[in-house]
Amino acid sequence: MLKKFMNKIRKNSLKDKNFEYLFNEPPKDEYVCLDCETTGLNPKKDEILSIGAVIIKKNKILMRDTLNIFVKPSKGINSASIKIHQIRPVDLENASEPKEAIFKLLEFIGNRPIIGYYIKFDIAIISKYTKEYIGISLPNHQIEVSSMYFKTIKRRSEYEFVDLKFDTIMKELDIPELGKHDALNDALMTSMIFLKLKDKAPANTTFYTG
Amino acid sequence: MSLRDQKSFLSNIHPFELLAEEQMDKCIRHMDIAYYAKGEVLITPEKIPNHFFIVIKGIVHEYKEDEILMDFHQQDSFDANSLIYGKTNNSFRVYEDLICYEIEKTIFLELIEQNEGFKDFFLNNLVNKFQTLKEKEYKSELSSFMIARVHDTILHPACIVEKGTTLIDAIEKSMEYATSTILVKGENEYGIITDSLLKVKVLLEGRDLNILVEEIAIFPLITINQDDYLFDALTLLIKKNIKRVGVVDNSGKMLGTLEQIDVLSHFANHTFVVDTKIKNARNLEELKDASGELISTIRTLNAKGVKVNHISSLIGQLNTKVYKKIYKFIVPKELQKDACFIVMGSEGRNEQIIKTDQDNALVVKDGIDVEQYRPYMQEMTKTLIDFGYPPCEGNIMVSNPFWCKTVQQYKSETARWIEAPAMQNYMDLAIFFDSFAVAGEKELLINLKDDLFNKLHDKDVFMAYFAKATLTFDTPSTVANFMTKTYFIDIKKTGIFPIVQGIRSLALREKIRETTTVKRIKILNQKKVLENQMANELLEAFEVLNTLRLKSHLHQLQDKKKINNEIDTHALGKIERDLLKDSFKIVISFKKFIIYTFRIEKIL
Repeated sequence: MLKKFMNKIRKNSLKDKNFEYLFNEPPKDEYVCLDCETTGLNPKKDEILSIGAVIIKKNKILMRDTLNIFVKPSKGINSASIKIHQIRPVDLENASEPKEAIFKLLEFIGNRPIIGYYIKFDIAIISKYTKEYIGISLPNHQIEVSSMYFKTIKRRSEYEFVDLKFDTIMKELDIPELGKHDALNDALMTSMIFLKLKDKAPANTTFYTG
Repeated sequence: MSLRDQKSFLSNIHPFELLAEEQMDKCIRHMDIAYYAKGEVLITPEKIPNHFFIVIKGIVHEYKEDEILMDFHQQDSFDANSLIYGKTNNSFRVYEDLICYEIEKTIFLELIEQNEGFKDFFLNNLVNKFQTLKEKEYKSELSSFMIARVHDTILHPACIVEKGTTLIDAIEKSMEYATSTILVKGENEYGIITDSLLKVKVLLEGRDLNILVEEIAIFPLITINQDDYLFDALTLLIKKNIKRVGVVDNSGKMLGTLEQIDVLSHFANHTFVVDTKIKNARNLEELKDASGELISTIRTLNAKGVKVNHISSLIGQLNTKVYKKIYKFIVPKELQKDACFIVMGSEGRNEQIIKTDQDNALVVKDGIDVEQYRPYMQEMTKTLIDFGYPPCEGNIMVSNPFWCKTVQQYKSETARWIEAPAMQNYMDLAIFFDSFAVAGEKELLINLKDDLFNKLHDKDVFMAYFAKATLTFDTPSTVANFMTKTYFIDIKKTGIFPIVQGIRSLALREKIRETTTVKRIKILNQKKVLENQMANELLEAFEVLNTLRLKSHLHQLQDKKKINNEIDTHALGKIERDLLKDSFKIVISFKKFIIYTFRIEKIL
């Protein structure tokens, strides 16, 4: 109820009517899984360097149509973050302008629910851009795989610690490790986690999003 | 997964590496990743999917009715048949949560149209699939052909003389060593004098034979370490354009010389060397020495990728020569031709490559006193054990009076086996039927086999029981999950024995005298008892199973472990695993054929 109301408000603040489709009823059994590589962990300050996203339809990850874009940062990348995401300035020579990249992304995800690992962060940082370009934050429904995982784990007590590290989840669920860690590969592995948990945990409740 | 990751995943899977660049790209552009939970059914006769599956992770089982036919693991793919022919009798069910690639049907079929190698792999029957897979396997096996070391070959003992020796003395010494190479020891290095050097520097230049060796010797002698690869030695010889090098050990001690011709003949035919040694052996000691080299011959041939079938017939011939010689050395001349020394069971079939036991017997002409042979037969068994032919646990050895009899005595024995059958009798008959004469008078054995064939005429019920032994051990339809634990399969019980016993039963019924399973299969095929396809599949499966067994035997030998028939499926490569699975499939259908053809249901 509250959500519908929020969306109405959001829809009203949408500056570009071309993006009204974001508020349509999402197609059944379709999802988008995404992952961003960023210059840092502060959504307010930091910028997106690359986005990887795949579409999931029922039990399949549609590999023939994936999104893997690099985004030009406004200033140079600091060397500390290079070590983490391993995106060097040279990798960004053919990168897209942020606006172009974000529009491409919005077109790709449409109104599908968005799946991710600690997805709140990715949504927050993408929303920083969408607010600027079209006046709203991403309205899509969000699904957090670590929360799905948490719900499937049998615990002896409420307080038992559950390791939610990405690698741990991968290992526990026996998900194959893909080549190198980049946005697209991470999105893919996250998709596999989602597919494996989809029928075991209710997908539309998460404790990270409202 | 980036395109590159997908490409490298695919190109590790046969036959996808055969795809051309743009075909590979097309394939990748048309595949998705799918997830299926345990228990989901992917393919049934009623539901043929629109995809070709490649397992990224998980296990899928293929069923025919309730029976598991195959299991598919990481990197395995299925099911080309249902896509190509649009129908299947089998179903595929997820056994362990599956993550897989799905290639669109139309693209898959298109690739088959466009790429010969791809097409051959998927369209051809099992036999051709075997060939393709094996060629691939051999390509990698061939590299082991290059791993022979310098010390694996013949070294010529070095004739070494000090500086300051006169040439005439050096030549005399070289004659003692029967070598054409003289090494001259300097302070820190060696020099060399060869026959051709003598020709040029001494004969042509008309020098005196009393000059000192260092005047004509070439310094320094090029050397190689005994642990170096033979292949490196060959490269060195070719590169320096020389015919021989000195061989030293790690401390630099000169061990001898290695000649180009030895290197080449090592690569060409090590068997020749062993054969000559056996031929030239003048006593048991020398013979033992020569027969001891059979193992390394087997190893070399196997490493060169020679078919097991050929190795076993070669080894069989060499073994026969060894037996003949032992017989000649031990049995007094006047007794030799009144008896026939036979080998039986796997040795008789020529299928015992690595000696695991001995099954042998003596057939003595009627009217000759058997007793006079006994002490020599004790000696035979003792000698064979000494030669490294392990004793037979069932005591089926010529030293056992039971296996040293006259023709007439054997005849009443076989009559008893047939009339009062019991498991032991079936096995004795089976072993005896595989007998092969290796020394003495062959006619005696031929006579015995004639008699055996006559007795079995119209003995359908007996034959059904005899053939039933084919079913003694279960053949797995899957090769258990190699990812999770080590898993041992007795390859003899599960695969080799059913083929041997089934074929033996057919051969006995058809009165076939050949003893090797391979030849029996070929004759049965000519006689139309076996159809072409079944015959070919059996030959291939038999070859694969024996190759895997030989490989594991060689490993066990190397690790000084007790030799058994267990194969660690964990240690198998992807191709070997596929071949093993396909072979089991063939064995299972052969067992059904045996049940049908001998009407075994009637006696079950």
